[in-house]
Amino acid sequence: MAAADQGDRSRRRGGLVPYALLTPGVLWLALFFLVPMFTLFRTALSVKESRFDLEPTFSWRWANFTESISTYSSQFTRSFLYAGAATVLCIAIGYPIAYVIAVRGGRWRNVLLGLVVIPFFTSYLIRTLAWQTVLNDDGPVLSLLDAVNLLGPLDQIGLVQNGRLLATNVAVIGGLTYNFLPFMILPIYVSLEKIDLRLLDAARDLYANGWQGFRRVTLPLTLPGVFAGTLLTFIPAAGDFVNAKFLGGPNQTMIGTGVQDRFLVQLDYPTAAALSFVLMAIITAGVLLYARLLGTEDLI
Amino acid sequence: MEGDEVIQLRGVAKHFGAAVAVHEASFGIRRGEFFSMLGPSGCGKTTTLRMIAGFESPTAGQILLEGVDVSRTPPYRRNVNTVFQQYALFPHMTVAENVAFGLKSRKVGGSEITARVAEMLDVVRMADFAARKPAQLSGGQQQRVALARALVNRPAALLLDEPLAALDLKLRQAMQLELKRIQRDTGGTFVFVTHDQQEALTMSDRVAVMSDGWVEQIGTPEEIYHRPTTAFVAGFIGEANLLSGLAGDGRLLMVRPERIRLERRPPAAPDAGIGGTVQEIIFRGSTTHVSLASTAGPIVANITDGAALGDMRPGAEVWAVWEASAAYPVPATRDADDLDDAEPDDPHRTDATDPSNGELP
Repeated sequence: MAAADQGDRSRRRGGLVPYALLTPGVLWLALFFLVPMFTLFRTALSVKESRFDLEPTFSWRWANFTESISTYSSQFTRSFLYAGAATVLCIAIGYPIAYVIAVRGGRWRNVLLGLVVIPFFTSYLIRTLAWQTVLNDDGPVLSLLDAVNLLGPLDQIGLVQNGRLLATNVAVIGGLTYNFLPFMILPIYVSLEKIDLRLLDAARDLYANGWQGFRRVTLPLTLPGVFAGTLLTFIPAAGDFVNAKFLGGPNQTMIGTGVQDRFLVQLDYPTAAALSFVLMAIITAGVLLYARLLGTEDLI
Repeated sequence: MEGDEVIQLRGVAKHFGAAVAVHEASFGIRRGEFFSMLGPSGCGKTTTLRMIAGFESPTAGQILLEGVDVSRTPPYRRNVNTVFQQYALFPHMTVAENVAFGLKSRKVGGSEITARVAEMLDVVRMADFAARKPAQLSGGQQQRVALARALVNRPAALLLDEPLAALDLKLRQAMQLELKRIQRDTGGTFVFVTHDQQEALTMSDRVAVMSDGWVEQIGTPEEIYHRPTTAFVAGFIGEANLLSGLAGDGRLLMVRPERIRLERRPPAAPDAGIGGTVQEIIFRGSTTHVSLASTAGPIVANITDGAALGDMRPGAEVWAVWEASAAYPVPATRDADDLDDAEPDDPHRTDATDPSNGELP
């Protein structure tokens, strides 16, 4: 009788443990995500009465959204194009790297993974500033291209503009690709590493050569990794302003540049908040659509 | 029949660095037969199967598939298919897509694929599960899908790598019968790898017994059970008493425990026997297991009629008696020229005795 009672009590306690474990996370989210979101939303619907008015007044002003979209339409377009291009490049560069590490890495695996992660030991800003130096008008890349007489042809196909790399689309996309590449490599590596090698034996046994085995077995099984990598790359890249600021010029500003400018330079909080919300909404819609297209809910 | 061999191994060997997984193996597998490779783990049976499938290439020798040397042919150009130990079904594909995989690789037309997949799912009785994913199937069902996925390609030979090892006993026995039925229905050549001697005896037309990379004996289940050619085979297939000093020229005399009677006096003419001391008597239900110590080595007798033992106790002096036809001489060691190639610490020739003896105190 007493034993049964005790068992009952421990089961009830067991039932509460998960909630207890969740509490810090839920509190954290409520305090540092939901509350700020609410404040931001309020700000997005507020009006700045005068230039010197720091605290805007709440007034259900939905026009903030439409106005910010129309004012910053080119920045929005650019953000998504840059982020999209950087993501595609990250997949194109990152997948083979992840594949080589996972499949052919052997005992060098951990060393190679370490090399992928090493850039994180330096600050994001420093790394981007270093790229500024590298791509500088009298930096090593342009000098080398000049020395081998490639500057002219590259200028013609638009990879270099008027002998410059800085302040071009190429520089910003390149910077984004460089900065977010590890976020693509790591999830793809994890999904590749999880693949049971016997499945590839089975594919070969069923008359699939190397390429067919990759296309029909390896690739579909790593799509969840590609999906995760895309989220980790595209979302921060779309909201980034560091690369546009240091590697781009006035014609390469992204939506992050706009948010930063409105918030920190012009102190126009309502427009900045509205821009942030629009960006968030578009990204959320995009991610849902992408997940549907990739059919990932089936794979994860 | 003898000439119609689907697979021929000619002096096939496989070395992994200094380790020898398979010593020169030469044998043929006949069309339509259920051929088993049987042996303890590490005996080279799976390596041999993987060489036939093409996943490993032989260090020496040739593998012929329907008369053509395929030793260097990659697996995707060999007309054999494998059922893997853990099935290796593609988790992102449905049952039907899994089964269709090989046909798609070979660019078979869409309507023919549909028809053949449906037909094969019928054969393995999985038609109702065509739209499921492997994760939604039980072990036995996955097994059937793996079979269908291989057989739908109508391979010259089906290679099975311990396909039943992951199943529990009841299901394993049911699948043994099922496999035999499918083999009869499809008329295919099955090459089956197992470490379970009961399974090999039950299912096979012929069995190759392997040990430490050597093919010890190839024969029908009856041949390898009643007329083993090496002490290892005698000990590995069922229980065996291997008696020394009774057969002459260094050979051992094999007598199966179920062929031994225990009597109070020495045997008369057609029968043979040896005196011994009872060590232990264990009642096992249908038989009573009596172990004796004798000058020829330990002896085990499985007595069906327990009542005949009377009041026999450990320590009693009795005669182990058998009909002359029940005894079969086997060489104590492998042939001398084979021994030269064997590893120095190779234990399989000299002390291969009935493993069940080791269980007795």
